[in-house]
Amino acid sequence: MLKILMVASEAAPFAKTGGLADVLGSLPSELTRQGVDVRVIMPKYGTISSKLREKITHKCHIYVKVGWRNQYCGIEETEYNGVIYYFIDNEFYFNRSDLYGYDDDGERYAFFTKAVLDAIPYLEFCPDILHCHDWQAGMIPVLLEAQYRNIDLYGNIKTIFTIHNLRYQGIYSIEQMKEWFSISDEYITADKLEFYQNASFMKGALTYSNLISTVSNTYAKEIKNPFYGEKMDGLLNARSKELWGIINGIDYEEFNPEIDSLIYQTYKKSNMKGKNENKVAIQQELGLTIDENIPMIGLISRLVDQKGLDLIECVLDEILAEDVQFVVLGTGDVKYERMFHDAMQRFPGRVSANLRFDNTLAHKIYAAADLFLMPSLFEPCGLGQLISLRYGTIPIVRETGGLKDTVISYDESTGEGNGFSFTHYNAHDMLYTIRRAVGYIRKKSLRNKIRKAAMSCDYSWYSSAVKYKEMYDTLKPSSD
Amino acid sequence: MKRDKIKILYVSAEISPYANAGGLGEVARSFPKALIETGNYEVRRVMPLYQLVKSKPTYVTDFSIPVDEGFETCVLKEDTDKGMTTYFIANDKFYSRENIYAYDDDGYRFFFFCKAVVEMLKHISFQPDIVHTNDWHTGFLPLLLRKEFPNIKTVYTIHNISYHGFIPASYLKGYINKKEKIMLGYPQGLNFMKAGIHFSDFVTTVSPGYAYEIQSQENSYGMDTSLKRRKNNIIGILNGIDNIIYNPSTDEHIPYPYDADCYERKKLNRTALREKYGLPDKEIPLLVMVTRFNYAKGIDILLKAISYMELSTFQVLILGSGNTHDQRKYSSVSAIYGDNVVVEVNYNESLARKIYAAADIYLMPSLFEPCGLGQMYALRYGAIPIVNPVGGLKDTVIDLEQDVLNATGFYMEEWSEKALAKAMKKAIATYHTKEWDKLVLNGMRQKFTWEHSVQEYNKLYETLYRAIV
Repeated sequence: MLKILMVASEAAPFAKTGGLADVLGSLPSELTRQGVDVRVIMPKYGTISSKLREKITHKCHIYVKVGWRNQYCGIEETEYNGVIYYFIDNEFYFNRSDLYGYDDDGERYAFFTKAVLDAIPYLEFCPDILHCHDWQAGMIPVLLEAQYRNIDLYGNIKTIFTIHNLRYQGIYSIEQMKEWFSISDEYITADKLEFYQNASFMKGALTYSNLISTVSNTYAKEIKNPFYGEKMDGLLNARSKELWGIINGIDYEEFNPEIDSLIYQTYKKSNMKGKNENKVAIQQELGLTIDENIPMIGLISRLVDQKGLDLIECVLDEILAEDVQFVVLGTGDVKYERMFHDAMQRFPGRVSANLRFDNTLAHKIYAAADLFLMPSLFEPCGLGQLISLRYGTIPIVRETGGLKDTVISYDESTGEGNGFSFTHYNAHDMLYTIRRAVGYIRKKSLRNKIRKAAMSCDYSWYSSAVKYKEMYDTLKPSSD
Repeated sequence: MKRDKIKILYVSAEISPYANAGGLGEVARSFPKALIETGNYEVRRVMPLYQLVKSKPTYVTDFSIPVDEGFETCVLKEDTDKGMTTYFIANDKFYSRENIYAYDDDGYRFFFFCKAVVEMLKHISFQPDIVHTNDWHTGFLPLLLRKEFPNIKTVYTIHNISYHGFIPASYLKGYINKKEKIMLGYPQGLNFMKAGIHFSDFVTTVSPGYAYEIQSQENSYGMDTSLKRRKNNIIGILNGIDNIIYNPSTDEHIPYPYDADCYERKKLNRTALREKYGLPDKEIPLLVMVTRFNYAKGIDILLKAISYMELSTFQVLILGSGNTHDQRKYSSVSAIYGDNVVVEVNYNESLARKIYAAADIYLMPSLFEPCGLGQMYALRYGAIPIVNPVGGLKDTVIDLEQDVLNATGFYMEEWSEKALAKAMKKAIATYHTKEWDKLVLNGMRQKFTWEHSVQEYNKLYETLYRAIV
């Protein structure tokens, strides 16, 4: 059986700041179901809830060298959803109130890197592949090559690096990196770790890992282009042949309109009457005009430029000149929060601005809205459009990253498509697409057809895991 | 009685076409030429001999300059082009490199240049009355000259106040007292720009607007105290452009020459350029920008502004230059912002002129602009500028709303993507009205020659010269 050790700085439900944690919370159990022996290793943060913490058991401890210091490293484990999660314990580095944002983040993850590699002999589990996620685990492929290769146990371990967020690259001064990792100058060259007079964890990963993946096919192509490449485009181009794009899934148990206990009324693809009841109920709850027939546009997003909020700002009045309702959930830039707050005053009964995080309301909006707006400038994978498809809420997206891979714009001539999309990052193109979508869904038969197409898509973790397995298999020695 | 010509040594880190990184090089090419044309001056120039200088100047002499504990040899060369002599300071250690600037030791490189220029004057027969220095690279020259050539008067021109260079105080031993040392930045490195401002006889900058702006604390890049001390000896004199080189009726680079009387022929140039870039030839305006890929030139706010506008109503062509990464980054924007947005990264002057000739609207949304040349070329070629009214842009472009009769362009209300989009929309709307012709003609009739600038400098040089005689 293929043995994979995933290395990441966060995993749900233990610690979460973003999409990375969701992947590490769901993908391993799905892979396990498909017959892969997957385990996860992550830092033991102070923020792990006491309920989960109680179930974590101490295996052993070792000492790990960071520069000239010898640091305590506890190795602990627990089981979650049939998957073993290992934890690296060090109170000084990880028993803090937040996951990131400390002056010594570089040193913290340098410790984590060495700890993971040093812990392997104590896990009673020798992985075939170390699957590392984001910059915090980026130096593992480098150190494995530089310092562990000649030890028997490590001799055949392969590495994969998955980019969830290309923007954070773990960039530190050359002196610090040399000290933390005890590496010599030969690694700090432009073709290895050196990055604009500094050194970068992520660049190390992109140089040294056997395979690289990111979270959608289109994004894998886009990051080879300097506009999206965050200055790694040259390197990614050079590694084009080893670069995979695998779309994330969503948890099909948590997001299931047939059994979702957070929504007003469950419904299914074959009978979507319940979806309209959700609309009426949310209109009641949010103080919108009650009208089963008025198209409702949902927006659940961080309210920032990257998500296309500046496009929305530019044509908000034109959108609302249509006979539509607009329901917003999220926080972000004050100017956008204010904009929706004002719109709520200016268009009473038609705009609902919910400027907060609220998981229950999110489910209700996914269930109630007719259209889901996601006009991002870039979007590595995107989650909102996957959930909205699952709930038969027709997405309107810009063709970028994961949005392009998952939403197929409705084509009148063939009758195919599960949503609507536009190519250029442009407010008027978006407006035109919204008008087109609103026009189509006013015709009930068309609306139902596109809804059904949306709900027939499969973006469960099952399909993602199949792809990951395929990627893992390419690293198997051919003699197997 | 015919009196002697005033002798001027014009000192610059770049002189086009020998070596050019920006506006400074252009000015160093055309301003001395304009001075000579008045018949009142004998002008020679001096610059470092960089690797990229293509012409082969001839040997004049050599001498050594004390550097640290030892000496560096400086070879002096000269080149005469169209009656003007340019001296070159050659030294392998400092100048035999790929680029003009942006090295860690720029302070040492240009301090050597300043020392070498002083030394040069001891070895050549040309003895200037006035040494005209430019930007930080030459900032220590007035101070060094004061000690060894106390009769020479100095002018220091600020082309861009945001770039500075530094040298350890030990290098100025014997030149300045403790108080002056502190004034120039001690115990940190001594600031070339501050030295230029303090020790020159007169400070000029490249537009009245910029002269005003840099005296406020927020735009002075730390020079405000120094500038305040010299406030009676600072003036802004607008740069000019070479009206012979930049003339749409004789420009050999453009396929269909034209002038104000037949400026509709511009459209033929536009059609030709559109064809080259696969842009449909429709009755919508072609907006252009000739720029370096730099945040402060407004390229990023332009892209955002484009995303707020209806793509079918205009076309944008950006001719940009920058590092390889930026060139690749911006060449791919069509896919993201619209097929009507084209970026060309292979800059050459001939293409730039074709673009000025083809453009309906010229975009210059700079965060700051000491003088700016692009807007003047654009006006001369009948392209209507949209500018952020700062520095020289405010001095050279008249907004339609401020003065309907004499307007030559459009102002942004502030430096933001929204304000730019608003100005672009207004310009596009105006393009389809009769008012447009008037704007174009007003612009083409502007005179941004060196004449005015030379007159101003005449007064200044005369005053300084009289103080010597």
